[in-house]
Amino acid sequence: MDTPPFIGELAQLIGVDVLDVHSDNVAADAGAVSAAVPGLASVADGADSTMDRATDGYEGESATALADNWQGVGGDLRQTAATMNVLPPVMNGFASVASAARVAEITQLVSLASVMKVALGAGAIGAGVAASRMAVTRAAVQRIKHTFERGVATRLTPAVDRITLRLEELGEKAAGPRGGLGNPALAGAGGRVSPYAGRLPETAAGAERGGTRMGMRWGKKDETGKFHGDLPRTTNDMTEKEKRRIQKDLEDSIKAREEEEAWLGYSDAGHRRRMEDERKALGMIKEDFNEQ
Amino acid sequence: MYGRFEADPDSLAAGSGQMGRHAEQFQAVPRHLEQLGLGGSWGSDGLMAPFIAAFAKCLQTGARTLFAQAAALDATGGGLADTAATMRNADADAGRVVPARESAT
Repeated sequence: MDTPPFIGELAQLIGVDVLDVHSDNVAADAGAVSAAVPGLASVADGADSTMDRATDGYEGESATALADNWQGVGGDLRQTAATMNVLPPVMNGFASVASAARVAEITQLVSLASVMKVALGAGAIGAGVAASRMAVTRAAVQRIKHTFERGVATRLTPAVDRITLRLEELGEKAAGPRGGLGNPALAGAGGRVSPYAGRLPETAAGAERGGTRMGMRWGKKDETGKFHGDLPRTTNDMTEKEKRRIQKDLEDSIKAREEEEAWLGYSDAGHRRRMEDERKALGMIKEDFNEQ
Repeated sequence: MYGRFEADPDSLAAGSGQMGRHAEQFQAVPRHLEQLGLGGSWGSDGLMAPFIAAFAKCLQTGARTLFAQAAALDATGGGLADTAATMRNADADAGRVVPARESAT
């Protein structure tokens, strides 16, 4: 979706840039990687057949050595192809969240444009409406950017990094203990710890739980609009003011998470659980207000 | 009794040549990917930079690994050729040391 010129100007007016991304090119590049993979697998298969034919009937110690060596080489070729095949879906995921962020920003600006059209015709009151709406739009666009950045940083970039690490390991194996890709941390006789041995910390929700308390007994909303830190389990020891603040923070946080889920297009278990918890806490506080 | 190698040094040698061709085919893939300049046309927004950098590193690492594996294919081909040569030399030597006698084929 190309930016309509008046949208670009409006963006400038409120002091934001529309996300500059060409999702079509990302998707095309993903296709290029995808297209390269079958070639690797077919060479691996061809090489297997070649080995079979060449060593047919060959027995003895050196035959065993040759066969063992081949098993390592052949298996690794296929593994590398399979690992590279994981990359295109991640690229496509990036293309779609970037595109969604861009569309969301442009939508905000289009909506602002139509408000401005009406407001600017309405004199002094209109000017006030316009100014306030501009500020709201600016904040919304910033939030979209934050959500995009966080989504990429917590889910997509780490996925790419895992692929890279796996490719490095395979590369070290191929070259053997003497050669290698030059990464001494990965090479070495048997003492290497595989990054896949333990469970990698994955979900954003897991990372969020380490929020700072800042002297409060419960968490609060941060600049991305989401609630961090401990959710209240009971309203017994809250003042009215605290309840109101937490209610507002939770409502905003749930909205922000729903928005994130809606246009990031996926929501992992941790994210969903967190949203569920926030809804429950909000329900509890609302009930409390209703009972009074 | 002695087992006799039924493997044919000629088929080992042929396999060696074939393996060399496999190696060439294999390395053509990373070479092609490198030429495409992937990731360069996605846009210049700063927010995308970390992902683009991670992607570039991934491709680079993948290419290096694929080249290393192509080299391993080549080396395997070399192993086949060496084995064929050894077998032929052994046969030739055996022929010289032991007077020619009926040898089962």
